Amino acid sequence: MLRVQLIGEFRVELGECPIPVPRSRPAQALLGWLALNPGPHARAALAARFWPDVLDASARANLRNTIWVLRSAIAGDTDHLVATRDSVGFAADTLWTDVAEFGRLVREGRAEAALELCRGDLLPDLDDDWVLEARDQQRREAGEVLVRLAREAEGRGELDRAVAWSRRRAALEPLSEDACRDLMRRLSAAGNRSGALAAYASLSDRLRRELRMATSPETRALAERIRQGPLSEGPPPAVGEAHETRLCPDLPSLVGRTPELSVLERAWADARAGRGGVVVLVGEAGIGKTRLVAEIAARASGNGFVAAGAGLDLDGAAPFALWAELIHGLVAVAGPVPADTGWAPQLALLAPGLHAAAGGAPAPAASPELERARLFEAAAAMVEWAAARRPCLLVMEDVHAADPASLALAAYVARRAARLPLLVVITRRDLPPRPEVDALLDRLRAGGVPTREVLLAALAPAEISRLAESVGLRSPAGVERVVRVADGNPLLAIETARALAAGSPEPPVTLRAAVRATAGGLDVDARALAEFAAVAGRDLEREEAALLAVPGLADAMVRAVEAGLLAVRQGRVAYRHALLREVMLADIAEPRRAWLHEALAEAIAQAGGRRRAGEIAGHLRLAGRHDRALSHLVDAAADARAVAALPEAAGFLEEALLIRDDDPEIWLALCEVEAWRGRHAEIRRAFDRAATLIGSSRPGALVEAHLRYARLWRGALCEPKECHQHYRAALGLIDEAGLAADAGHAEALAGVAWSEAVAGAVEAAEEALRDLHRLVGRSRPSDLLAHDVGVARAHILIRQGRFAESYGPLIAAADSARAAGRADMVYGALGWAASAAGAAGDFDRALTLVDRALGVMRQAGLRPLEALLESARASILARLDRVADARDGVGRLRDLAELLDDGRLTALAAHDAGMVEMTAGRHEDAEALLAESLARSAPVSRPLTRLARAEALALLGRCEEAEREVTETALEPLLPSDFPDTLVARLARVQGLIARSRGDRALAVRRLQEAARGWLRRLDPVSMGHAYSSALIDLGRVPVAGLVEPQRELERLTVELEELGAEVPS
Amino acid sequence: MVRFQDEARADAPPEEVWKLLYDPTRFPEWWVGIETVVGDGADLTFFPEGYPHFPMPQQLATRREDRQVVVSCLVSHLRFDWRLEPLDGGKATRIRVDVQIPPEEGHRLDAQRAVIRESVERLAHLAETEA
Repeated sequence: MLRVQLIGEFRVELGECPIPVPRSRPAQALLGWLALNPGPHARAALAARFWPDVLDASARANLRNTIWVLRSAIAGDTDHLVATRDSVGFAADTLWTDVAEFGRLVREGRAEAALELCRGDLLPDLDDDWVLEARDQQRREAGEVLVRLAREAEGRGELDRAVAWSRRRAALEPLSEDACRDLMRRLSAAGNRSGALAAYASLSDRLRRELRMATSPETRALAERIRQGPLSEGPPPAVGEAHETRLCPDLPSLVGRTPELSVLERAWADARAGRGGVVVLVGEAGIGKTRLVAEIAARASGNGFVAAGAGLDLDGAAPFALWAELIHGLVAVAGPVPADTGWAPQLALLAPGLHAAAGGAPAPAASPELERARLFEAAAAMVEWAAARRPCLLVMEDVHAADPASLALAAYVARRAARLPLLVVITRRDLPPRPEVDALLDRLRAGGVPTREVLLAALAPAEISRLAESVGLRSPAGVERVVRVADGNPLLAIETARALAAGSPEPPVTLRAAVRATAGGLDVDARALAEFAAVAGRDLEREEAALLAVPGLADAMVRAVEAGLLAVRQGRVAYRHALLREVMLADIAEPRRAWLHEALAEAIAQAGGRRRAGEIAGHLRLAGRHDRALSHLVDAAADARAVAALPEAAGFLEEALLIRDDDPEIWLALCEVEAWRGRHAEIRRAFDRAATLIGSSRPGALVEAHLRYARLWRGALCEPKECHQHYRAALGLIDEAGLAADAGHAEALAGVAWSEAVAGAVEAAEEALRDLHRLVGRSRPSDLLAHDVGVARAHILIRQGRFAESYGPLIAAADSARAAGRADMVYGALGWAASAAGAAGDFDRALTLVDRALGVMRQAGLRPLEALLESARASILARLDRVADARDGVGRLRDLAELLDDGRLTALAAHDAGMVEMTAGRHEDAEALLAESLARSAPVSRPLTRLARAEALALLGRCEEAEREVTETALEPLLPSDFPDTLVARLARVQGLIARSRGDRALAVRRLQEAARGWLRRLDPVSMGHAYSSALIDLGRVPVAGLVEPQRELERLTVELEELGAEVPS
Repeated sequence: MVRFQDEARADAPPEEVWKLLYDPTRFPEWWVGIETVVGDGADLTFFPEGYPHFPMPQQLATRREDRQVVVSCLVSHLRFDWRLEPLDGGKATRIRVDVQIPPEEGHRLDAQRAVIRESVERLAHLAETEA
């Protein structure tokens, strides 16, 4: 065994014999580094690390010489220092270091033995960057052990020992105010006020001398309190303040779990090296998931940012509850938020307060789909921002209870872990099954994110014994009874041991009995606080707790914390373990429980907590106060809708309708949410009910309802016929009831103009615009109305085949939409303008327009629309024969698809790449890419894609495959956006190419002539205008990529027929 | 609503039948009683044989869910749903047509049966010729 002592004096022993440490500093550094990092290392990497400023060859030569020096120093040993042509390193199984031993002892709970190894600084004679980092890390770990030992001693009432450990920590971290405050507090508690004030003076002096800094107000205030007299007892400091996370402060010792902790440590080390991943801790309630997470969090907080959030099993919890907590936590440790960040205002929707920190305004609303995309991207950007500053550990606890929106966002962000210094640790119970969590993990694995699952089994009896002893149970008989009762479950073991240590004659046989025993010892106030915290279902904010009907709250809190039931985390009142809360809750009987729910609802409402409306409603409903819950449910639905959590919003509204089903406003709100969910039957049902409730006696309200309804079919769903019907209905009501002209009237006319134009009724559309002009006169229309009018005018022109004239009104419409803050509408208008320019043959202009739209989308953070514009751009570039630029565009589309984790966009990228390669004449690549896009259901015209692939196959001479693709084309279902009336000509041409490839000239000529005749009939631009209008409705995007060019097709056919020496039809 | 179905087999691949079904200008070649067709795309006007001044506007649509070509007469409200099914590995095609006649036009049932019988056979034969 080779023993290397790195802490304090640098010593090396081989067997039992000390051997001299090499004198040369490079050799010492290499020896130290290899000992800290056992295992083989590439020579090239080592050479670059230790000699970064010289040529590679020189660095490798230096490394060779230094290895020779090391080998000589350890007597030519080859068993321990293994050097090959490519790598060098110490064999891990024959190497002992004090640093590794320290970690092992700490993990085994032998903290004092571990500290005996700390006899000074790590490698004190070296000052390389990696040494300084490792030294800091070792100091922090030792400091954490000292913190724990001091707390445990204090908990046992052994103040002298607590002071001793605190002194040692203060010596280890001489500039740490936190360490000094702990020492001051404990010295004062032990009656040594002068010692406490001397420690303060000493710290002040050091800070002033070494850092030219004054002590913080917190430390000064503590010193002042000590000067005034002995400190009164207060609640123990919250761990959130120590580790800046939500984790429990008074952690029991970590017993066992060495392999599991190793997995976490390795994953954290990988993450720190930029190779992040996900670790999932799975196990039954109370098995130690939270404790293990706390351990890795404590370790990671020394060299990274740590933030945590938990899934809430809480009726009415706001969507993204887990993330709201995570965002707060991460910003708290990684802040301050840069003033110009785009993500902070967006995330303020989830974490109120962030907006104020960022100082920006929330982004304007778009469709929920886009809002969600922007929200997700903002969360990912925030994590990337934090990870760029320091490695990040994100803890997602109890995901089995997390809301679906939180899980979806977790999947989105965690997908980026593999290329970031980011470790995501997830905890979940194994039962009951939660398919959404399984799907999340499958998705991460499929996305190439290293995802490790760790199953936490029961602890061994010896480990349970140590755990029982760690909470102060001394009697062997008692420990044995704990082992018997706990059955390997550490939470049960600790609770049982606590009960026995507190004097209970018999061990409680269940956790419920243990909690009941603990709660039974509480006074009325502390018990009430514990009950409120149980019915709350989450950590209670300080402001909420202060409003509860608990007299003497501070004292009650101290007693509940001391009893081991509650903890204080980041100023919040929490249960020490979720299972304890569940058990406590089960023990509260009605009507006491109903009273607690109602009182809690009032406290939450009074505290003014944002995004808590659903929770308040939930508590009121559980209290039987359904009448009071109604308005909160409506507010909760609006909150959920604001963050695009549509199922949750619909759920709140349906719950509201169970209480009161005769409020048309609730039905209309439901109607809107269902529209965004694309549920046609539900939309109509909700609208019919709302319209019936409004009744014909309130024509103004009915007009507004029809307009709201029509907007849905123009935004969430694109159904011009449905819009038309309701705009007309609104106009009819206005006429019938003789309502005064107002903005609603103008909107209805503009809507009629648009829907008539899209449907091809050009005259009716023009008439509606004339009516609108008479109504509005010379007054300036609103931005949205101006947009509608511009789009309607443009559609009229497109329907008439007057493409070049149409993009002027569309550009004006885009400007109006931008002024209204509706980037999604800018996309539609500029996209259409680009299409119109393309249809007019002005592809350079089309490109300019797409670029302009791209700029707006990027600024607005609408990545999905940016991707669609990249697709359109690539098509235009290919059309301009700028193949290299088109390929770059497809590359950007692929990157966006990857970023957004959107399979449909990935398939679209394959399609676009295939079409670009067709242009480039690389038919093999083209057919493979088009086949991929078809297999992955790209959002494109399937018949057109099949025909393009068939053409590529025909040109490659793969005639049978081409024929099969032609047959499949005929079996594809068609939509107007597939341009069915042009497909016959296209299909005939491909048949001609197949015949030509087979050498059947006669058939080839017949088919090509058939195709030419078909295209001759299509030269009318009006019919193309009709077809383009259909494309927006069917595909939901502008048809830049699918423009039909009959003249160009004819020119191509002419060349092909002339090559065969055949006549071209005319 | 009165309805009936008819079908025929064409010894031609589906794409040959498909081209005839999707090219309304060729309807007069196989749809009995249609003399000319004006228009293209979705909106068509049939002119019956012997009635050059009697326009019968039609709507041609496709249904994505069950791959059908639907021709609806906007005057008589007769509706024809055409469906193609590949046979013999794609070398032949079964052509099915489902005809729906509103009650007020019920008296045309027998005549339409005869028309469609002959039309579907003609369509099959024309596709075989084109193949």
